[in-house]
Amino acid sequence: MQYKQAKSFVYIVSLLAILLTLVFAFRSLVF
Amino acid sequence: MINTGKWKRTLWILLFLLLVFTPIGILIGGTEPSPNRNPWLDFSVALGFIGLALMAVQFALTARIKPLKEPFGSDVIYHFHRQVSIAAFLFILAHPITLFIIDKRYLYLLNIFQSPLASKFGVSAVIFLIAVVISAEYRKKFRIPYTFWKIWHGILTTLVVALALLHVFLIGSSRYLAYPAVKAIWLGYTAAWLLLLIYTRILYPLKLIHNKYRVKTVKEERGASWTITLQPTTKKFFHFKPGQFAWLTIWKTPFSDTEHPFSISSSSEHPEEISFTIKDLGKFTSTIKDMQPGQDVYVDGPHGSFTIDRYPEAKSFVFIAGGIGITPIMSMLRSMADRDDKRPVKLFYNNRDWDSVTYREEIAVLEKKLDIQIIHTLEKPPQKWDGETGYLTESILKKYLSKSWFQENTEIFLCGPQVMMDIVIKQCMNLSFDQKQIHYELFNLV
Repeated sequence: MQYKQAKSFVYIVSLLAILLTLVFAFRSLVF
Repeated sequence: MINTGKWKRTLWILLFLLLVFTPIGILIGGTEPSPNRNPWLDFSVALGFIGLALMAVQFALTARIKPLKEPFGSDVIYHFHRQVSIAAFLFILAHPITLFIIDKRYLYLLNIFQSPLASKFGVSAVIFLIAVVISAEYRKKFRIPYTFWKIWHGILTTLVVALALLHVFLIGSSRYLAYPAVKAIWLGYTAAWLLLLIYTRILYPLKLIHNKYRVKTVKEERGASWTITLQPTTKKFFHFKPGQFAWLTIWKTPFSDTEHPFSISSSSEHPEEISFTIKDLGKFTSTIKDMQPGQDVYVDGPHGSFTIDRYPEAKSFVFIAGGIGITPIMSMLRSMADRDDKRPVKLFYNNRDWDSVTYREEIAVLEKKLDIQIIHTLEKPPQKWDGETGYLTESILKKYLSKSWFQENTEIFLCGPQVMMDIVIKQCMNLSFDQKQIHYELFNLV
């Protein structure tokens, strides 16, 4: 079960990372 | 009662998130966007930063930091390492690909003979990273020997991070690394990474050499297995929990990075010597029988969370072993016998045939010392065998586990081949055991 949790956690971290890279790239529009 | 394991896990997860997201956080909060700059160029840069931060964290995950591994279990940490590595690889790969999509002229950077030095470093890092990922994912398919792979995995990943950091510092100095906060964070990461390298490659091996062990006996067991018993050369005893494992370096020094993980099979109540029973399954394990008393062995451990000691509230235990998977369970049984622990135990032990049942005679002796029922299942039983035959099935489990065993305080420990474990975990859950009651540890990591 912990394997599945670890995998899901990595997916969430990756999605958050993509979101933050987009925020950084378009920060002139965001802020 | 405070669940310290949960708190420790939460703290480690928070630290992981902090390490991964601090660089991008500083980029977002501490840098100014250029009005004429393509935002997708910044997107590409940020992908690279995220990928490198994820890569750098890998060194901490695999550095055998005991406080990190204990709350999760070594196998979960290695599984996590694998998953994060794939994510890091994809982020790093996406960094140049995005550049090429923005402007095809960037493709010239791939020509490392003509491109600037920073690009040479970046491209080389990506090439080495591709080699790392392919060799790790397909090691068995390509039949790359474990020891050879392990050494090169260490060398290549170190090269990847070193080259990527050089790429960052060279290319970034005129842009984002000109910001003191960004520069400081990456200098900090570089320093932490170098310290971690010094610790794992120099200090830790030196510690293992100082605390080396000597072979006391080498004994043949049933099932093409050999038990080696080791004694410390210092006054420091090897304190461990029954069911844990250690990394052994045999024939070479710890600097060679050629260690192998094995379960401890002896009782935790006798830390003055430790035993490992190792089945002859390949190139390295076939050399165990050639070991001699007095030979030096370097022991890194104990590691792992596969132990009855994590569940002091347990009222009863179900142990399920397949072949040589009996070794950590044997450690638990021996320890229970030494502790005069009378909690009820059911041992399901699956083997190919009766002659290859490792510890057969000793298990029969333990039957008299413990409150235990042993259920042997044999794939090729001898004539006149009145026990269970074939693989372990749900109906066999049900036959021997009466209603009183299906309670919250029964803990199940499972060790054997991956295929068997996958099936038995499902069977246990079908029998209404909660997944939290089922404990296992996988050694088939790479």
